[in-house]
Amino acid sequence: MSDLRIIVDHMQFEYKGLFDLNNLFKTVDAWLFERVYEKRTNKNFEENTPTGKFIEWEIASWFKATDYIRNIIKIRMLFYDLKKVEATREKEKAKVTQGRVIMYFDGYIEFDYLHYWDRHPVLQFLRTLYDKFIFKAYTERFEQRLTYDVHQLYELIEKHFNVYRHYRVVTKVPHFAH
Amino acid sequence: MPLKVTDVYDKPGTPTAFIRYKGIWDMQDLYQTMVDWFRRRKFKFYERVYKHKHPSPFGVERQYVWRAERKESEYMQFIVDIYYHIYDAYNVDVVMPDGAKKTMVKGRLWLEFKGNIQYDWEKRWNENVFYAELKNFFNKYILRKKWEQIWFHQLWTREIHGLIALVKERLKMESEGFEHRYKSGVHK
Repeated sequence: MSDLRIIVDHMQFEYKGLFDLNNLFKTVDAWLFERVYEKRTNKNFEENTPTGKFIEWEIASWFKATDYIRNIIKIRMLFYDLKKVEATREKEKAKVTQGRVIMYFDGYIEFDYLHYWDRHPVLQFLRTLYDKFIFKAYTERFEQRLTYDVHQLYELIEKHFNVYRHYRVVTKVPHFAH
Repeated sequence: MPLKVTDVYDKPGTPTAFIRYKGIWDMQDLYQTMVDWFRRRKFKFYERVYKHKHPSPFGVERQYVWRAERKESEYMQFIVDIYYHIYDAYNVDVVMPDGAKKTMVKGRLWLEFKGNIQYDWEKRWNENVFYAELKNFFNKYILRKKWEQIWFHQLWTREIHGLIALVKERLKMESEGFEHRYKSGVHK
């Protein structure tokens, strides 16, 4: 079994109000596509309920940084009570969505995703030694890169929803603060 | 130790993608669109299972298991497996925006999409253990990069996600759209 470590743990985003839902999915997909992440849709659930539409959308996109390390970004979006309403956007009438949104962002690094070093306990021990001590500086850089990616995506979504946001330089934030 | 069938690396696969939908949809249109998509993409289409269960008080339950195959070369073929489950379904009459009446289905829908590559579909390299070992080596160490860098994208992104995008469009889901459409190249 490969070594899967959680680096960004359950960053959360909540919003209630008006937004453009279809564009949100397209924005996230386009961002992943530009950064050569593979698309993987775990859940794509849509239900019509008496109070409005309920959507659950979960993706776990991955990016093979090397032939040993794979970055995984997992995004889970939950939408409740979605309704289409008319609003004025740039002096033109447009149909937008109104509802409640909760999003969770997780970032994982998977070491040895090709399972070359997990066939024997000794090999696994060597792998752990290598990752934690010999290769430590590189491991931390990969972790930092993943953290940066997740934060950038988070900020992009904040921009999409036009909420108050603050920019944090990820390199200045200690790894345990995420 | 003798080589077992499970040791032979000849069917690498993609992850499974799921769609769940509850609401009203045009079943005839969805079914025809999906089958037509396979036909246009030059797949051989097989409906392997069709189950129509006795209606419960909540509605009808139907299951379909589909398989589509397309031979890419003499050695390799794409396989797309689809599991299609409808439950609590019943017909409703819907008035379209132009005033015409149409019969649609109201219920729940569960779809699973999975893809595989089948190496050596002619089974030329299964005659003896030596051939099987050769095939295993070839698949594992020589073809592996091609699978990871080319064929995986063609099957997963272009074919399976192309079909998923089409289904989402027909169901008029909010997440419709296909940003990864040109990932494996602009020539389809």
